[in-house]
Amino acid sequence: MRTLSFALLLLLLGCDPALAEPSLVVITHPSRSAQLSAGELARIYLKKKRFWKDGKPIVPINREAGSTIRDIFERDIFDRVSPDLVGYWNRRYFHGVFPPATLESDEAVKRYVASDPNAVGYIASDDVDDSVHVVYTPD
Amino acid sequence: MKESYHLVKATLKLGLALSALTLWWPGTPSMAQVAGDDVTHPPPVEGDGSTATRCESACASLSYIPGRGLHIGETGLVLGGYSSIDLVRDEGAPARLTLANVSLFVMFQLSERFSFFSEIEYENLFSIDTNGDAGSPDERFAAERLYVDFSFNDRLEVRAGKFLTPVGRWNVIHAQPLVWTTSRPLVTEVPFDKNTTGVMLSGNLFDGRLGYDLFGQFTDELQAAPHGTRADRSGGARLTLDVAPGLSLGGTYVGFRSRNEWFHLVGIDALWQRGPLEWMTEMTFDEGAGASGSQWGAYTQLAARILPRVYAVGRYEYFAARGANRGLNQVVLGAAFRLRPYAIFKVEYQILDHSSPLTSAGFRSSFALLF
Repeated sequence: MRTLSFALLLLLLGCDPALAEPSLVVITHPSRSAQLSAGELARIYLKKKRFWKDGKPIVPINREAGSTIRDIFERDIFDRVSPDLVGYWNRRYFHGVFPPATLESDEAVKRYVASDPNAVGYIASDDVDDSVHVVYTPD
Repeated sequence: MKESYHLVKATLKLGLALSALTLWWPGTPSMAQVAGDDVTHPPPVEGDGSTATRCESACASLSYIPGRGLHIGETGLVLGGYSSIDLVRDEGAPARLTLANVSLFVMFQLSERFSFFSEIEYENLFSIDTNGDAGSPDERFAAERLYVDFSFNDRLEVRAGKFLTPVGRWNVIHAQPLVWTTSRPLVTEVPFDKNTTGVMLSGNLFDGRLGYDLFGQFTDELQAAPHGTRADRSGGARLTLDVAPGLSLGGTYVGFRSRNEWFHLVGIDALWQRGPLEWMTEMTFDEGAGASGSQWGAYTQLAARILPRVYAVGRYEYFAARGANRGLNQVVLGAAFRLRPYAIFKVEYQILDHSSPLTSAGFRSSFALLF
């Protein structure tokens, strides 16, 4: 009976994406209002696109590897997750390029992005406030 | 000479110390945990899922991230590198264990646009075979790469110094921790000089989908390798195009002068990555303007993740060397075990359809790590 209940619970969770996964948004400093596409974000987070259009360096901020929100972000943007990107970052390190910096909470990401006009990060949509600007919302 | 000797020893010690540190490293709080949530300055770089730690020195805080180097405070200076140990048993020859490589990276981000990179490499430090022969007959110490980069924007970056010649894909990621096999396809090292000492312009166009490199060597090469093709002067161009998610195509042209003869090389290549699969292929054709004739070759390689950290690898290569009576067919079958994100153990067997002075059939294995 307990097994059946657990299975039903899992089924319910699986049927309702809102319960299973938080929705995320990508944020920048309020001074940067231009929207970003998924392709642009992929290039930014792979350090292939390194400068904003005004010539300032982009500072992408990741959540820590293994966090739920990072998995959601990577699946949406790269269609793959951190373990698949290990080889990519090893090869970039060989050329002196490092992965984006990480912070371990939405609050930290939001505070950092709000303080740096060149930063871009992602947080749960529920955590957005006026200190940051939303530049991308997944479909 | 004496200074070089001391530099070699210092490099070797630092490389081995960082290798040992990387191997020993226990699980410690991540960089982000160290940094906490008090974010008032740019957060530190973090290895992707790797653990890290910090210690304070008299000069600056030091943070070491396995596979991502030793970061010296917020100076922008990072020390890193890689090392590898090979075990090779060619058919009909004794098995030989070689401390094949210790390379030290010195990376310095001088400003947002200006950076310095060097790779000091010590090759074939020591080897011993099953006949008891030991030593380091082919040891070599050299600046494998030494350059500065200046980025104007995403469309234009200027590099000056000694760098890896951007022909195909393997040559620019040839380090043992980064490739799937201990052996290297002939087509990625025989036809051209693996390094260029000169200037390169690079950038990305069309929203990052098209990458280009324009490069040239107008002076003698800095510390040229003793073996292989050597270019006195060269000029070339490379284009890469991201045609679909995970699929990139490339094309290269290089003209180079070697032993007073000009050669023209063209190459095409492709890389496809999707989930647990990676497919890579390269082909080059080159011809001398004099009496040297032509040569061409191609390989195709597939790596597939079959278990969480285990990859099966297969490669076929055909190489028709200049002046050879017939082309060489090679098959490599093997496996790679990614023990950690920064450490890899590889085993493989190489089969040839006939003997060749360029390579040998037999067993190869290596352990390599980034530090």
